[in-house]
Amino acid sequence: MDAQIKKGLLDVCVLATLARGESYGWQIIKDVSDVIEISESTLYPILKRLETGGLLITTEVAHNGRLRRYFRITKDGIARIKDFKEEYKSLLKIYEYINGGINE
Amino acid sequence: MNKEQFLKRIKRESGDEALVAYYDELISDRLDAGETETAVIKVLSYEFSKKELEKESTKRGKGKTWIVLGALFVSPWAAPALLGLGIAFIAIFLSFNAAAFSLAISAMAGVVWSLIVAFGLMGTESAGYVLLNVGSVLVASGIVGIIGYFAVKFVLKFNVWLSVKFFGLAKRKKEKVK
Repeated sequence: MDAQIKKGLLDVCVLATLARGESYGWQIIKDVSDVIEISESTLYPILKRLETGGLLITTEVAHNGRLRRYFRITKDGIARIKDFKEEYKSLLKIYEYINGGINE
Repeated sequence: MNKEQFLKRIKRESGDEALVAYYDELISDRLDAGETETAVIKVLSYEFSKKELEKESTKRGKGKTWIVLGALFVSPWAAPALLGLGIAFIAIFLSFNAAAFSLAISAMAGVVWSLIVAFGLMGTESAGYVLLNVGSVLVASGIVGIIGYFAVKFVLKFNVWLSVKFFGLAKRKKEKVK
């Protein structure tokens, strides 16, 4: 997949994972990996960017004698997913146009 | 490399405490899931190195751009000098072409002129006089023609060199060959 397209999709995929319930780093990677390739080094800047943008918040919870960082989506994060869904309609039109060009 | 060494490396190379905590947690979670420390560190170390290399390469690319832009804005003579160089380059290109082709055209004009002169003088002047006039023009045209031939040849090569150097025509040609 094109790197630029993937970059845009990854942010929304992480948010969509968190929209299903709060989660932590390793679990997010496992969930998102089912639909799109993501590595540990890729997830960190995404989480940082989303947190800075106010699209998610973090809480630390004790787990197995250590602290685990949980991420929770915010209202702005939900709004970002909704925006993406609107953008997707335009993308679908472009896709159909491109697809039509091959079939004709 | 074990977990501690890997985390120290991240701290040393990134200086980001949050990133260290992130990797610390990831490693612990993967170890809890039953993976071996060696395998986890191997994968994460590769991923981390790849990301750092990408960052470095982006920084270098941006660095070069900033050096050029910085030089243009900081130095008062850089922009006019660059503009002057550009104009000089275009002027050299145009004058080379104009000079070479005017030599070739002059040679051709000389031949035509000698024929006009020959027709004009025939019947009114002696054959020797006509030959002398026409001959001298033809010899002069010939010399100009030879110089013009080499000049045009040189300029055509120069034009091809310019196209290859600045417009990447050679690259396209190579791609076609592949």
